[in-house]
Amino acid sequence: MHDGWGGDPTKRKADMVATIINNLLSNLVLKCAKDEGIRNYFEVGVLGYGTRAGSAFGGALAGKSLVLVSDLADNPLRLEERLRKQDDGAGGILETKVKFPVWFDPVAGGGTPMCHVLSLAQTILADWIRKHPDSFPPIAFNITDGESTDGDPAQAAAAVRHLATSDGSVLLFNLHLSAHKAAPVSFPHHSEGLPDEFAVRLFGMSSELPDGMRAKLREEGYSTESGSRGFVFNADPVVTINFLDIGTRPANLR
Amino acid sequence: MVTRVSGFMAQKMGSTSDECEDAWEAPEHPTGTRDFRCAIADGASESSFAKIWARLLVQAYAGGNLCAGSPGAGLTPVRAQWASQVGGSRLPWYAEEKAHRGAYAALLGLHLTDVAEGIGGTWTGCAVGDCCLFLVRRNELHTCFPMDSSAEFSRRPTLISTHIDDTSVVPTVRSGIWHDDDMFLLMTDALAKWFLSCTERGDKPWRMLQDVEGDLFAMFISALRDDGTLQNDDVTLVRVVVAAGL
Repeated sequence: MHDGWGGDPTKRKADMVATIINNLLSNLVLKCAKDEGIRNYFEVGVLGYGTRAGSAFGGALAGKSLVLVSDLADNPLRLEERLRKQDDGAGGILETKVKFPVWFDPVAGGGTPMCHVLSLAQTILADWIRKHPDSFPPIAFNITDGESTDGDPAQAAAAVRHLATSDGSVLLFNLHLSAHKAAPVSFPHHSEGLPDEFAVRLFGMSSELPDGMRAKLREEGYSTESGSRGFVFNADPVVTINFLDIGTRPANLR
Repeated sequence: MVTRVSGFMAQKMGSTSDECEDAWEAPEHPTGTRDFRCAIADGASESSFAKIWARLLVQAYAGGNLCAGSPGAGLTPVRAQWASQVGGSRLPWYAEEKAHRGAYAALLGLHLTDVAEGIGGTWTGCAVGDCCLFLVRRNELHTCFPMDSSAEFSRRPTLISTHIDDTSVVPTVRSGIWHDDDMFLLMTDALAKWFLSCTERGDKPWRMLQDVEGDLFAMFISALRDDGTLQNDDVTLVRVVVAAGL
């Protein structure tokens, strides 16, 4: 994760991954924030894999495989004060201070034991499904540079996708961050034209998008086909965050 | 003008009544008045403090503080009230951010006037968003407003926000002359979609709604959810029956 994003050496992948995950978790918390507090619509887990594979949470959440959204909201590593710029309605820019929660700092180094982390994810999700057999099925997002260093992850990925609740199968989506300068790809329905074997492999590991998610992606301006998969290659961070955001938007939230 | 008003609410299945983000408001003693206003509002779940916003909107409309046909004009003080109620206490980071993003709600108002006792008067419906008004006259559906098809509910409606500088409120207005024994039904979107689906099949769903009272409403809503014909969402119904009176 030391390499640049999309070949741009100024954007370290590790930094972008930390930004993506912090933004996603912040958006998840905000989706669940109501007048009386946080409604626990979700449980969330983040597994890091590099030198070791395991829960990537720190601070009060350290060691936890899955946490309630309320616990996530109340336990960031820190709140950073940042400036938000917005139009002041009179032709100028108004800067206001906002609190930005940080749960993860960039970490790079070590290999990419993808088979091991997928196996770990399978264990955690199987246990959750035993306790919640009728829930909306879990969604797993694998954010990776693609080059598994502990073997071919296809079988481990299939084991994750074969888990299911009474409502449907677990969805496994892959976000491929590559040093390649190839053009970004979002939600393809075939692997032709993908720039390298790692992208093709990750495409093959990705679940097809359910009809409901395809409809939401269309509303957001993305084009999808029947058979489109939850796979993005070197997508702009905004696309990535939107994708992760839509993927975790429950149908019953208006 | 004699009006009989009944209001009913049922929270989303899985939520408590405190978590319901709908609101409605009507005069406590409407009979004899010549100027009657009532309103329903549906707070958007993805915004915080939407329940407070929905409540303030219906109170403002029913209290005559929003223009019957163009509610956008009187919103500034209502928005200030919301900001005051929400910003009073120290909030955690996520509540501060949600408050900054603002609250959103659909609003439907009904305004009835009486020219003189026993003669009749006008009705005006004003809608922003997807709450619906149905006028039933002599057991026939006379008016559907602002939606007239169940298919229209798939679109994202424009809602009224708490942002001071939001000038995008464009209400839909319909008016007419009310007749003796006209029944106006005001509904939030899930119930309105069910109502229109029934009419599209040739049914007369108002027959079920015209007599419902007390806890029968909640039972009726549960039955519709159980058979899959009603989406799981907060539900509000206000029923207004008007007579010329003497």
